[in-house]
Amino acid sequence: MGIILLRSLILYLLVIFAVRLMGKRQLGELQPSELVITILVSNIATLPIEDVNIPVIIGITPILALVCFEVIMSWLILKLPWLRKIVSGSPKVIIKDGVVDVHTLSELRLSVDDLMTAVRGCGIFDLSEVQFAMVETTGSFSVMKKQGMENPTREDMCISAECSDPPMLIVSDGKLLEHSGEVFNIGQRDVEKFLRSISRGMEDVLMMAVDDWGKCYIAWKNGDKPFTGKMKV
Amino acid sequence: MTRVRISVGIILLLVGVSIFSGIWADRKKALLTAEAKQVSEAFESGRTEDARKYAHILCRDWEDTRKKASFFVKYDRLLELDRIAAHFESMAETGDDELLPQIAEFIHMIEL
Repeated sequence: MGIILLRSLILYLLVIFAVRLMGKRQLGELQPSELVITILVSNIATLPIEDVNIPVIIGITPILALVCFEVIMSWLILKLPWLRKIVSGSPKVIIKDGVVDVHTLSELRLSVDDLMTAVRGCGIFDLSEVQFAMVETTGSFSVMKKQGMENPTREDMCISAECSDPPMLIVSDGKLLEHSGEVFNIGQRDVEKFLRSISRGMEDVLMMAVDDWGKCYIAWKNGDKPFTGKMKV
Repeated sequence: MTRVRISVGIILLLVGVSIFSGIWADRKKALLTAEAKQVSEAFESGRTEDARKYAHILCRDWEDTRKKASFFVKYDRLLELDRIAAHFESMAETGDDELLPQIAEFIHMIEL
């Protein structure tokens, strides 16, 4: 029993390492090669856990090899477009100028119902609103509405707006997140100085978020009303 | 790029380990086969004491090999070989005729 637990732990850690090695691409929508790897890895990992007769190394070796092949292959795909076409295929246009391409649709073995489901998934219920649609290599649909059907934007209405990145969390549970601090060039001392100016300490902070303009939001651990205002450093 | 480097490193490591383990397995296979043949030759020519001595060396080397082989060979196969090898010494000592087919089976399984 203990051996099974230990094997499970080893393979659990290995699969986490494998998924991390494959990177963020793997955690989103899967390319065909990534799908193959995911299925294979999940299958192989269970074998040495279930069967104590199989040495752990027999499970570790193929998992590591497959994941490394995948990483190397994705790097090669990045460098060689022709390889990308072979391994991942290419996106297919299924609606152009508002006209459904029946030939491509049948080539992709998609029924009209599938098409309607996908379009509804993009928040469009009337096909006449669609200007252009394509099926991506991951199998997801990208749909563009006819320009006349789009919601007006600030630019259309000539309303000016300042562009800024969203606020980032810089303090979490009383601890400064150094990476976020570096983005805004804010150090521990700056945060502590600011908190002292509002009669608080770092240990009181549940979360603190700051944006490009120094606008900050602070939630307190004791449940006090959150602070919103400009952060002066 | 770091991930690609790590992956290439792991692949090279796996290739290295595969080559090393392949060479090691081949050497051990040759050693154990030669020792097993030595036992059967001594037994066939009626040199019981020599056969027992060689069987003892074979069992000792097999024990050493088994410990290392358990890292990459299925345990049931090793247990089967272990079961066969365990009787070599006593069979050689008592002059049991079953020794020869057992050694033949041992060599066959080692080669597998």
